[in-house]
Amino acid sequence: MTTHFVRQTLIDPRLAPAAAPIDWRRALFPTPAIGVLSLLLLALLAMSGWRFVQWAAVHAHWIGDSAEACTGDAGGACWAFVAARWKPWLVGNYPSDQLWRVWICFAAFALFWIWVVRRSRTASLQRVLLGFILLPVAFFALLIGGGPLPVVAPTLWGGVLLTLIVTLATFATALPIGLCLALGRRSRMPVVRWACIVFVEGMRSVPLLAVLFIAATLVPLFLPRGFTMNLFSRAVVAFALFNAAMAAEVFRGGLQAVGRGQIEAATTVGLSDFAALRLIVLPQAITAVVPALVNIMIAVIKETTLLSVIGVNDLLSAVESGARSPAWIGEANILTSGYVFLAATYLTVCYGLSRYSRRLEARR
Amino acid sequence: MSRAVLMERLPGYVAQAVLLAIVAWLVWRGVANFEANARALGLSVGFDFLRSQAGFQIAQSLIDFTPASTYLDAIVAAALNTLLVVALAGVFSTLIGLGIAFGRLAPPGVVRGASSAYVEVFRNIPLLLQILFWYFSAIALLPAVGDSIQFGPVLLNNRGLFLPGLQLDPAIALNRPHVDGFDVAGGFVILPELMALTLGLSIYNSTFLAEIFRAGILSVPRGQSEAAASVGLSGVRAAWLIVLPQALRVALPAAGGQYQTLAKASSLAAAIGYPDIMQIVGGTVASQTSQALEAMTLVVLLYAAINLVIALIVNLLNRRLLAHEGR
Repeated sequence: MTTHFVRQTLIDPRLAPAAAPIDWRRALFPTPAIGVLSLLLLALLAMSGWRFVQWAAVHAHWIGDSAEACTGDAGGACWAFVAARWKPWLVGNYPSDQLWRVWICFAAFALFWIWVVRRSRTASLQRVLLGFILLPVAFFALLIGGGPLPVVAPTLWGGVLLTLIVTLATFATALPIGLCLALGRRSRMPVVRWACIVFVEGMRSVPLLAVLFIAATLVPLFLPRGFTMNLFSRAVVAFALFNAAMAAEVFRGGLQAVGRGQIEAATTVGLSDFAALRLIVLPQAITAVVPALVNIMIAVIKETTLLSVIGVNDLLSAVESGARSPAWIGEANILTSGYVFLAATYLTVCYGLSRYSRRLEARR
Repeated sequence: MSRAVLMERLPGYVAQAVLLAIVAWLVWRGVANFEANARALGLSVGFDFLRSQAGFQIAQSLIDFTPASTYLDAIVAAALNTLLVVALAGVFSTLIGLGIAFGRLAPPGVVRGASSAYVEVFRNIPLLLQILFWYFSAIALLPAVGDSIQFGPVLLNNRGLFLPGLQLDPAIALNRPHVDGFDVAGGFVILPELMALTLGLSIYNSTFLAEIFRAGILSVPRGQSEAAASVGLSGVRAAWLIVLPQALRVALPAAGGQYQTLAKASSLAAAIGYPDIMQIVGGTVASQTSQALEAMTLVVLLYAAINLVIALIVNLLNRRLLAHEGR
């Protein structure tokens, strides 16, 4: 083997970056190796894209209210299944005559979100965080009912509604608990510090599914006899505690990013520990971790699918039980169509949120 | 301790005592409730069940396992299955992640666009949904045993991926799988559940690893690859010899965290019935013995142990990489 210590030929000068419209030859063939790879990729994309269009559009079945609508010889997607079962997917078994309560929640959430994203100047951090605490409480009260409104038990909720409520409830509870845990980890009191460390590290070493299993099967054994807590509430508590540990790590990073000098300066001007925390440390720490908090929200949205494993009626289990219902059973394409529809839904929401998180990061 | 210092620290001591008291009270109430509930439901408590006969079959086991084996054997078999899928998915996701990371750093064009799209698409679809899709939608499309797809000695059909195995008895030989009626005889089988789980875990985690590796590669100063080019190294050799070792050093701690996430995520096996820790210990053993507390304790301890081992390996590698650098 020969080893070159001096290059024999000159390297081509590097071209200035072009702001011109896409030069296809350079886009495809910057170097021969990448060119071959590009062509292979293009061929693969064209082939699978063509197959997908065949499946999703050309041979698809659009109208119908049972599996018979989708039993063709071509074997395309069954969008009739997606369209026919819109109600279980959006709201689960929520009573039809009370649906206006759900629509109010969806509309209020959409408006809140539009306000957060578009009016970034008026949507200050405090107001947004307040919204994330207040909205879930208001939604919960409205959806459960009581007083003049008929009571609708959470066991009847499902689909997008349940996913949204679990996400918001997790966010509203996990953030404050996580912040307390992160602060507790920095405490001068050893008992508090060790309690927080044990909780956070313990939660982080266990799969979420195990926590959910424990909430579903074990927790009732530790409750007093006669005291029952439904599966939905137990699952939400499990989600909140698990994600509180995740949020605690995020907040810990934010707290560490605030320089020691800040706290020392605050002490010098005579602020008490608590005032320094509230006025100097927390505003900086929380602002620094907002993008990471959005990422936690994305993770929570994706994690809600695990609810279907322990038997809570979330969006994923609505699709699965739909494909196993007597009207729709028997055709593999029906379940696949449901999965593709779900993938597109989650992809849109999570991709949008991750773009938002990146925008927040760039603004800082 | 002076009186003033004591007065200042007193609230802290009281707060800690109260916290300890609350935790102790919760534990005591929980234990009391559990004892009452267990007595009312007639549950037995303790780990004696580990030595009794399991009486169920495990579809895939790396150790000898029959229904006559004990629960302890079942737990060992399940833990080995988890380690198997974690190792497979760890290797594949690292390879895919490295490829995608370099793809995203390619000059603007098809390769870079496709790599970015891959990351954005597969990172933003829930892992459980991906696993279910591979299991129920993709692998279900594979042909039946009679029409197996064959690549050399490897058979692929809806019963799994059949690899040639080594046969030690009676003589050392290659044991090729072959179609035998409605089943495949011989060879070593990778079950559809394992295929789906490995696919889902590899693809999902490769997107996160790709981002970690990309950040690592970007952290290597440009001068390094320029210097490599000026001494005559080709692009691939420069990447392999100069850039990657330095990039991995930066990326290793974050990648280690991602491998721990992968190990925990492998518990989603329970959703498709792959016999791993979650499915066997948290599911079958817990329901057969109705000793959910003991079973879930084992589940938690096993996952914590796996996480700890991964952390240890990463720390060892990290130390070696740093020692290499002479720091």
